[in-house]
Order: sequence, then C-alpha cells, then structure tokens
Amino acid sequence: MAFTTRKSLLAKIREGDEISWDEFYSAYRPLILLRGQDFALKPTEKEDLVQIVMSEIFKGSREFLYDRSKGRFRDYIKKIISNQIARILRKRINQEVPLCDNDFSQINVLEQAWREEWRAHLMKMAMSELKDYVEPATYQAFILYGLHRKTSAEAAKFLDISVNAVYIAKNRCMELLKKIISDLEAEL
Amino acid sequence: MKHYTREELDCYRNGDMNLFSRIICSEHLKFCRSCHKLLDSLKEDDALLDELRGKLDRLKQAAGEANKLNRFPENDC
Repeated sequence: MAFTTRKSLLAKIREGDEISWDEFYSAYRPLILLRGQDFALKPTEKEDLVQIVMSEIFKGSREFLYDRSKGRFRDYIKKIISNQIARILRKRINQEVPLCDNDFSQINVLEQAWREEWRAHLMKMAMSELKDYVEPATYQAFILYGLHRKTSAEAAKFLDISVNAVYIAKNRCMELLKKIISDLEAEL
Repeated sequence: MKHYTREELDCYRNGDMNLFSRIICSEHLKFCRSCHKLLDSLKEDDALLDELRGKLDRLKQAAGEANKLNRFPENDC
C-alpha cells in the first residue's frame, strides 16, 4: 500500500485515469528533449518538439486519457515523438537547412539511444513512485546516501539516525525500486 | 551458524564495523555461500545506483540546458 494517498502518474496510466497537462509535461519533457538531442535538433526545435508532442497527445484537451487498446504506452509515445521529429527535419529540408549527422540513416544507434532514454525515464518515474511508498525519512536517507553519495556516517548525522538505520533505509528503497522498475518495464 | 544481514554486510564493506567484527565477518564470508551471495547482491545494487545517478543526471541536464536557453533566448542574428 502506498505511503501517501496521492495517485501517481503510473497509477493513473495503469488504471486508465485522466492525466493533467502539467503532470504529463513535467514527467515527459526531459525524455522528449533527450530524443530531440539524438537528432541534433536546435534548442528552439527541441522546445517546439516538446510543445507539438504535447499537443498531439492532448489534442486540445487539458486532460489525457490513455487508451490501452493502442498498445504499449512506450511505443505510442515513441511513435508520436518520432513523427514530430521527422516533421521538423522535413521542415529543415524545405528551408534548405542541412540535416544533422544523426538522421534516420542511423537506425540501430537511434534505437539503442531510445532504449536508454526510456530506461532513464522509467527510473525517474520509479523514483517518484518510490517517494509515495516509503516514509519521508527513509526516502531522505536513501537520497543522501544512495544518490548524493554521502557516507553512511554523514547521512546518519544529518538525519540524526543511526548508521544502521541509513543502511536499512537504503536496502528497503533498493528493494522497492527494483520492484517498481520491473513493474514499469512490464506495464508501460 | 549465524548469517549476516544486508545491513551488517553494508557495515562490513563500508568500514563501519570494528576491527574484531570485521575479521570474523571476513572469515565467515570465506566459507558461507549464502552470505557471499548477499554481498554480491549488494554490489549489484551499487551498479543499479550508479546507473540511476547517471540516468537522472542526464535527464536533469537535458531539462536544465533547455531551461537555461529559455531564460536567455538565443540570438539567431
């Protein structure tokens, strides 16, 4: 059972609930920007990409409802991002701007890059989900020791807990995180 | 035979165990497959944490660069 009653983005996608523009934007913007980077889009093009992908997904509404019959969510969003990148690149051809080196000819490299970006995105979502599943002190100990590379003694001192409690928090969070990542891999 | 917990093995590998306990743990690990396996799984967790740090940094960097450019729009002239 979740530690908080806030419904995560994952839970909403899983249960077919509506997702707000803001929530989706903050969760997916980094992924879309990274994908734009693979195609060496210019900064303004990358921002355009985020906006048009968002518009394509929300289609004028403030809420988005994912229809699971469309297949896996990762394939759905990848297709939308790819189509919009292709549009931007086609626009460049029309404007006689040369294409970047990372155009569609490097399919394998781009596929691998997408897999890594998607994994990064899943990890970010998993972290957000984890926060809802553990007590704030446990999460904080995990962040300090696990992510910010503080020593166990530093984290313990900062949080006024024992070194053993830091390790308990880290191991509890790692166990949950692996489970969440594996669930996300299977569901999205 | 007493087996070690994940937390105790974390203490062992990170130098948070006193010398005497450390020697005993080290001896135990030489013949206990179960504890050795647990120690290996902690190392796997370290690898996952490294990956997590790297991936989150990458996402943060991509979003950060874009935010920076939004604050200071580039001059195309």
